[in-house]
Amino acid sequence: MSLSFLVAPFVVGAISAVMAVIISFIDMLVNNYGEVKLSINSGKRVITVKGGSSLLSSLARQNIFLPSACGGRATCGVCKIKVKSDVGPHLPTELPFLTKEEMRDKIRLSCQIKVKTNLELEIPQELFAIQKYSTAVTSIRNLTPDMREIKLSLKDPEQIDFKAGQYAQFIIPPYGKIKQETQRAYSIASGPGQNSELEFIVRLVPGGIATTYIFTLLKEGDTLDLVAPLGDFRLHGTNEDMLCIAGGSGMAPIKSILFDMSENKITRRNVYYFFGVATPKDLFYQKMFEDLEKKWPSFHFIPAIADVSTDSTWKGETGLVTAALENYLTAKIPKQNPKQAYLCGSPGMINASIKVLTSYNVNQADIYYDKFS
Amino acid sequence: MKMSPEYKQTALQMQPGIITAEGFLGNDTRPLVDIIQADEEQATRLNVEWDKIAGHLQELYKAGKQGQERTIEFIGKWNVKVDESRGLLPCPFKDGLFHKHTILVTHKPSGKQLLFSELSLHLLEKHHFLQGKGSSFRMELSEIKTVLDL
Repeated sequence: MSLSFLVAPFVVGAISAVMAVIISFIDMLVNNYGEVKLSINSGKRVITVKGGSSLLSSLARQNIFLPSACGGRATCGVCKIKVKSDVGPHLPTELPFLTKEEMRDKIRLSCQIKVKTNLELEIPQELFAIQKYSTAVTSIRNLTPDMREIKLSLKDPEQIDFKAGQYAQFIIPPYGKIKQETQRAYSIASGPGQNSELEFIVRLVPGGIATTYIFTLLKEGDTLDLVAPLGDFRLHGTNEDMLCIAGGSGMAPIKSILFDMSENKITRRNVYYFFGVATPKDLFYQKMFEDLEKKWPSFHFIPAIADVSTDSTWKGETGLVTAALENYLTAKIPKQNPKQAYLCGSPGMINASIKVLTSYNVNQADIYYDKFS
Repeated sequence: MKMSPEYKQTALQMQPGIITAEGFLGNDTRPLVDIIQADEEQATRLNVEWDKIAGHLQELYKAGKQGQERTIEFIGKWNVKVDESRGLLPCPFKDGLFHKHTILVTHKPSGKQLLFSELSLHLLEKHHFLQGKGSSFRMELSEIKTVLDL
C-alpha cells in the first residue's frame, strides 16, 4: 500500500517544528535581558534580578513587597514606585492612576514596568517591613448571608508587627478554570496585640475571583499565603473626639483601631462609632460592641439600619448611616470639642459622610478614610 | 463570522479567571462577534436603541448609588439597589476601568429584575456586548425592554 498520502502532512509538520525552534531561539535572544541590577535608595541596597519580568514581581522575588491590591493587573494603581532611570514614557495602562505631579516625579506603576536594564529606584523605608506570611485557616464563620469572618494563624513567620487599620493581601492560588495566582486586599480586623493570629472580614463579591474562592473552597485547616502589613489608615491625634463611620466589611479596620485603643487604655477620648447596614440581617458584632461600651464609658456604638421593615422590634437608628451621624452631630455630640473622623466603606457612603462632617465644621484634614476603590 | 485578531484577544480576556472568576461568555460556544451580531439583530427586531437603553440604565444606576447599598425607589416604577465592592475591573476590550458595582433593578409593575454591573453597562453601551448565554451578568434584550418599560 502506498503511504504517499502521509508525505504532505509530514512535510508540513516538519516545517512547523523547524519554525517553532527558530521562533523560540529568536525569542530567547531578543527577550533575554540577562542579569539586571536594581539600585534602591541611592545604592543603599543593590539587588540582582533576572531581567524580563515586571518590576513588581522582580522585587517580590527578592522579598521586597510593594503594596498591590490587584496583584499586577494594573487595576488598583497601588504599586507606585519612583523609577529614577529612564524606562520610557508612561504607558496608557498607568495613566488613569497617576497625577501630573506624580508623572513629573517619575512615579510609575511597578506592575507595568518590565525590567530590562539596570534601574535606580526609590522605595520608602517602611515598605521593607512588608513580608510574605504562610498561614493556616483556624476559623471561618458566617457573619451575615454575604459576609464571613476568617481567622488565620501565622505559621512562617509566626508573628507580625502591624498598626491597627492596616491591611493584608491574600494570595489566592489557582483553582478551577483560574490558572494564575490572584491577590486581593483585605483589612485586618483584629488588633496588633494579637500578633500570631489575624482576623479578616470578607464580603462575597458576585463573580469575584478571590471571594468566590474564599466562600466556596477555603476551609478550616487550609493554608493561605498573604503579604502584610500594608496601608496607612491608622489612628491619629490624642484628644479629639473620634467619629468612626463604617458600612459592611468596612467594619474591619475600625474594629482593629477601636479594640487596640481599648487594650492599650487609650480610652479618654469620646468615640462614636456609626455602623451602617441595609437590613437587620446585615448587622453583625452588635453584642461585641455593646460589651465594649460597658467597659469603655466614653465609647458609643450606633448601628443604623436602613430598612427595618422586617424587624418591628428595632429601637436603634434607622435610615442611612449619614442620617444617624447628622442626628448625633446636631443633638448629642458636644459641638465645642475638636473632632476627627475615620471612615471605611463604599465611596458613596464616604462621600456622603464627608459632606455631612464638613457641614458640621469637621476639617477635611481631620477626616481619614479607606475608600473601597 | 471570522474573528479579527483584536476580537480573538478580547475573547481570551473574557475567559474565566482572567478578569472575573466566571468570565463573560458563560457556556456560550459562539464566537464573540457572533454573540454581538446576534444581539444587534435582536435589537433591530425589538426596535430598541442601544444608546437609549444605556441612558436609562445609567439613570437608574446613578439614582441607586444615592441609596448607599440600600434599595431606593425611582420615580415610583423601579426599585434599585447598588452594591459596591473594593477595586476596579478592566474592560476586556481594554478601553477603561470600572468599579465593582452591581446594580439590581426591579420593575415594580411586572416584578421583573435586571442585574448588571458598571462594567456590563459599559460593555452594552460601547460594544453592544450583553455577555454570553449562561453568564451571571447576561442581559437579554427582551428582559431589558420589559424592565425599562420600552
